[in-house]
Amino acid sequence: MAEVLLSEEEKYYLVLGVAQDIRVDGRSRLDYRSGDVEVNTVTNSHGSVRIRLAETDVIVAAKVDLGVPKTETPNQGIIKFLVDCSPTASPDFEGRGGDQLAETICRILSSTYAKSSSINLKSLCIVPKEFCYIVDVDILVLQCGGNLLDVIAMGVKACLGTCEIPRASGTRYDLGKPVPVFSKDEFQFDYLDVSKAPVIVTLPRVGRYFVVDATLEEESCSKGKLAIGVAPDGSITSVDKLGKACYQVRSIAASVQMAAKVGVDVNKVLSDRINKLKLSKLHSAKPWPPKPEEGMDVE
Amino acid sequence: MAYRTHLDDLWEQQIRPDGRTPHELRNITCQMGIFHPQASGSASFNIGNTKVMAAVYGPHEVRSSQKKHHNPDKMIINCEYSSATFSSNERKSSTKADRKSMEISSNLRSVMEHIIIPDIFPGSQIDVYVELLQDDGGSYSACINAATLALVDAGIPIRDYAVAITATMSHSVCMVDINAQERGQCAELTIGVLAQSNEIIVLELANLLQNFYLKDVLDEGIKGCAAIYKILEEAVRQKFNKMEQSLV
Repeated sequence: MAEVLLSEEEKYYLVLGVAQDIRVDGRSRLDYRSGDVEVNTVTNSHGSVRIRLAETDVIVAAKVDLGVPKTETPNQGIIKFLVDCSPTASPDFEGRGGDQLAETICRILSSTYAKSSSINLKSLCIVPKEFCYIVDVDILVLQCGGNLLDVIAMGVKACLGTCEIPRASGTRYDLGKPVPVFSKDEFQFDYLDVSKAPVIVTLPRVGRYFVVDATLEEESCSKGKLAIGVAPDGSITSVDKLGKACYQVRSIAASVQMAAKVGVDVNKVLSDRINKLKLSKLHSAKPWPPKPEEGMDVE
Repeated sequence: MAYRTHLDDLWEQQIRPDGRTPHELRNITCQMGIFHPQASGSASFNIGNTKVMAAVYGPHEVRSSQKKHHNPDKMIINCEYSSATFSSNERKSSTKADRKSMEISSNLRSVMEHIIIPDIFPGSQIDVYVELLQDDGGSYSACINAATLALVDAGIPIRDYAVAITATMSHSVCMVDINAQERGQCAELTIGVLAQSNEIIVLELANLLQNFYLKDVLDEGIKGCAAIYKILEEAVRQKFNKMEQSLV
């Protein structure tokens, strides 16, 4: 991970501030920085989102492809994640430098989304055992200003929520085998239901306290962090410990509770935003030629 | 002509498949300082649906991996080009650098070495990273433009702007700024010039081009470069005017 070097005094100042619930930028321990989500940044994908939270800047793009379901889950589609840490984020990511971080994030995302309750994978299946959608979610880290994992998880949820999945209008039988038929109208698509999809809340421990949405400076003061996946109803979908810190059982219980509380709010804000983005997409899409209005029909 | 299509009719009226005239560029937007303050300099350059971002880090101390064979009187310029997995219509399945991106990296480095005033920061290193977000033709030339803007944004002394554009000849019409659809059908000449001295520093031809067309295509490309230079210059002036105003 991109790191900043801080002197002992700076760290001391930071830790003391956190203990008094006033962080360097004036936030309290449970506050997020302001961010922005933008859709359709990459127009040749089925859904793409550029999400920014303060300096952290990530592009998430999903491409939908036709494939064969896995043999152990014949009636489910597949969602795959691929993280790429661009060297524009930090010179440390040059060459293969970002691979380790990318792998870690990929694994956490997969485990968070592996729960069948988070996204209804059955809706991605077209013909059981034969055809399903494979959604490739590619994540490109452009800038890393702390709290990368949370931002990526939010971006993935927003991207899946606004991803346009082509509608299979039916199946035709070719040599006795069912083959899906797609509608030619590009404005006929379905959205995935992300109302149960989780976000991740990362809690680094600065001094004796857990903080939400840490900056790079705060991250460099903490030895490790807990990444907790939280579903919109407040249930925990995954817990990962990153870094080399040790925790007591008591503090893990406290942090999970804290993450659940914060995660519910984050999910709510994000869901509202996704719905708004979908609406704005609906307005910007103008099918051509326009359908004649019913009143104008010639009798 | 054996197979006559409606596109051929358009060609006769000098209209290209996407509706542009032969000398028309696609819409260009560029922005500087997109990764402020983490990178020393950064810029994005969008031309039509081709989107490129560039970041410059440095000048900073030479990194240990490159220290071994480094002459302390010289300056290292390090370039890396990478394309996002979702950049092309066909999805790339790995993030590893392939041969094409390695080639572009090294070409880009030679361009950067050419425009940065040599050895002005001896014993230091400048990193130029270029990321292709979406490719709709002319990605290499867009990379050069983005990298130039990022260098200016970083305040690194350069001799001249390197600007680049693609040009071609098809249906006996010289065209500038080819998109992906046109690239499939005709030759693609990438031309990069130093904006003020009009010296050509990049020249790359893909596909076949009749040699008596070459001069016309080159002229067309150089004209296109001048247009791009105007836009880049405008972006730079806007940014530094803003900076000046905020200082006063």
